[in-house]
Amino acid sequence: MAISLKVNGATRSVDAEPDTPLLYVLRNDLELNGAKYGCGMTQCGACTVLVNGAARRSCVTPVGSIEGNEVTTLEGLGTLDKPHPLQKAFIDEQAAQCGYCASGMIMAAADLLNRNPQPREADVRAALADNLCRCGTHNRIIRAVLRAAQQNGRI
Amino acid sequence: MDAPHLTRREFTAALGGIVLSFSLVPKVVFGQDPARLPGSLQTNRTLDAWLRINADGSVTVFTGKVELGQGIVTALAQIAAEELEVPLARVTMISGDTGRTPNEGQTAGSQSIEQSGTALRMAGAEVRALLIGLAARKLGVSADTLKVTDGVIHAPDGRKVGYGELTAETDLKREATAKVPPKPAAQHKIVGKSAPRIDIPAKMTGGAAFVQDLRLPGMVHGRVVRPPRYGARLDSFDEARVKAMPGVIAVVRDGSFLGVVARREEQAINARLVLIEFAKWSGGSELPDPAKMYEQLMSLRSEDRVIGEKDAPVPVGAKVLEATYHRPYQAHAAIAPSCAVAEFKDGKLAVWTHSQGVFPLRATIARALGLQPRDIRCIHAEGPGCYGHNGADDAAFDAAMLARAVNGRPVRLQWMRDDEFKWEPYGPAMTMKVKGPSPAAAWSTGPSTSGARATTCGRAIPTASICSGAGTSPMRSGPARRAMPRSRTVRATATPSRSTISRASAPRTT
Repeated sequence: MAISLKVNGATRSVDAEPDTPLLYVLRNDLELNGAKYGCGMTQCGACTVLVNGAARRSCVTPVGSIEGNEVTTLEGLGTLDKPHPLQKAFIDEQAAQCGYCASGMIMAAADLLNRNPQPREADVRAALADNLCRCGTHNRIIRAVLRAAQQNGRI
Repeated sequence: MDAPHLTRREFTAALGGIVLSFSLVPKVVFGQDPARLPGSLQTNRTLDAWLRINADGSVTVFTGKVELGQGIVTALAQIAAEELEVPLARVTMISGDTGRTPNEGQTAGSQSIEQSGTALRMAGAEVRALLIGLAARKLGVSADTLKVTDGVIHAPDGRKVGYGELTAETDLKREATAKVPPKPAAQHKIVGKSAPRIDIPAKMTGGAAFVQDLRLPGMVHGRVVRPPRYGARLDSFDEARVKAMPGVIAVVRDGSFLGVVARREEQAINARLVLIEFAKWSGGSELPDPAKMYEQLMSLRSEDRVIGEKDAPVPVGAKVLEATYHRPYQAHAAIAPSCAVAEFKDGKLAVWTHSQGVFPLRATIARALGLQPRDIRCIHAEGPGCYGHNGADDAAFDAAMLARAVNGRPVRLQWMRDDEFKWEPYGPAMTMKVKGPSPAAAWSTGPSTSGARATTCGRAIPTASICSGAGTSPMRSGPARRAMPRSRTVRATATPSRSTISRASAPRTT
C-alpha cells in the first residue's frame, strides 16, 4: 500500500506494507545509504535516524507508524560539499576505522546536540553508549562530537 | 575483456568505467629465470599492472590489496603519489578486482605495505624515470637536468612537459626492472605524514561506501538458511508455503544449501523465517563442552616441526617458571553482517564482495560451481571491519548460488545477524604452554596451538562442507585454520631450548 513519508524535508510516497521496517524503506525504496543494518533488533545503533528530531532505531520502526512525522537520515544533515558540523567533525577527526557504525553514531550525536548543545564528555559517552563500534574508534568519535558541539556554538 | 562489465567504481564514484587490459602473466624468456623483483612485483611483473598515467595528468593505481578500515588504500595512494611526484588528489585507486588489478592474494597479516607498497614504490620510481626520459627526448635535453613537480617535468630553460602529454609515448606494458632507486626518505613529502583517508568522507555523508550500499538495476534480495548445527543435513522444508509468500521469486535448495530470493528485502527476510520454521535437519556435530575444550584441543592429532633450537643452559640459581595460556574460539563479530551482490548472466558471474582476497575467492567459487575462473569476476567493495576474518567469502558464495538460480537478475545477499554470529569463521581456540628460567636466558614453549598466518587459500566454505559434515573441527574457524583446530604447535624442551611447530593432520572440512 502507498505510504506517505517526510524524509529529509521532502514528501515521499512508497509502496510498502505498513509493518515494513523503516530501515528497508529508507535504504531500498528511497535509496538512502545512511541508515545501516547491523542487527535488526535495536542492539547496535547502526540504523539510527531522527524522527521529529529524536533518535530512533529504524530497524524496528514500522514504516506505517511514522506517517506524517519528519524523518532525518545522515543524508539530511548535510552533503559532501556542505557537511553538517557533525559530519565535518567526524571527517576532521578521522573518526572511523571501517566506518559502518558512523552514520548511527552521527545521528545519535545529533539527537544529543538537539537536546544539549554543549555536552560534557560524560554526556557524549552516555548518549552514545548504546551505539556499538566494533573497531574501537570510540575516542575519536567522542572527540568529533565535542568538536562539533564547539563549532555549533560558534555558528 | 568480456567479463561482466559493472565495476565498483561505476557505482561508488560515478567515474564511469575505465576498462583496462594488462598482462598479469609476465613474458618470461624460456629457459631464463626471471629476476627476483621486490614485493608483489615478483608475482605481478608488468608496470601497467600497477600504474596508468592518464591524458589529464592524473594517475590510476591498481592494487590487489583492499580497504578493510585499516586505511591501506590511502597509504598505497600516498606511496604511488610520492614516487611519481604527483599530488595525492590526482591519484585514483582501483583495488581488489579480478578483472583489473594485480593478484596479491589475501589482504591479511599486515603484509599490504610490504607487498603492495613495495611494488608501487618501485614501479612508481621506474615510471617516473621513464616519463623523465621521454621528456628529455622531447625537449632535447639530458634527463638529469629535469625536475618533476606535481606531475610536470621542468627543464632548466623553463620549458615543461606534463605527464599527461606523454601518455601516447608511454608504454607501461613492460616488465618492471626494479632498478630505479626510489626516493630517499629524507625527500618524502607525502609518505610519512598523515593523510586524510580517502574513503571516510563518503562514509560520513551517505555515499555508496559499502557493498551493502550497492544497488544494481533490477536487483532482488536474497537470504540463506544455515543448519542449526555444523554438519547437519537438510531433510525437508516447506517449499510450497514459501513460494506462495508475497514477493518470493525463487527458493533455492542444493544439498543442504537453502536460500530464498524475493523482490523486496523484507519479503526475503519473512520468507527466510518460514523456511527456518519448517526446515527439518538431521545429524551434525555437537559443539565442544566449554569446560573440556582445551583438553579436546590438545587431544587432536598433530604434526610436529622444529621451528628453532637454542642451546642455552638454565643459569645457576635461576627460577624456572611455567604457564599455560588459553584462548577460546572467538567471533570476529563485525558490526555489519556479511553481504554480497552477485549477477549471473550469459554464463558469466560477477560478485561484489568484501572478501579479503578476491582472487582466492574467485578460485573457490569456480571450483565449487564448476565454472572457469575466467567466467567469474570478483570485485571488492568495502564491508565492515573484519579483525582477521568475517563471513565475507561465504556470503559471496551464497550470493553466487542464489544469482545462478535467478539467471540474469542481480541478487543482494545479506546475512542476518545470527548468520554472522553462528557461521562466521571463528578465530581459533588456542592453548600455549610456556616454560623458562627467570631471569630469562632462553625461552621455551610447550605445545601450543595458534592461528596460523592467513594463507592464500580460498576462504569461502563451499556449500558442500555444510552438506557433508563438519569434519573434525569442533568449531568452524578461520580460513587457514578451520581445518585444524590444533593448527600449529610449538614444542620445546627446557635445555637446550627447542621449538617445534606441528601441523595437525585433521582433515580439512571442505
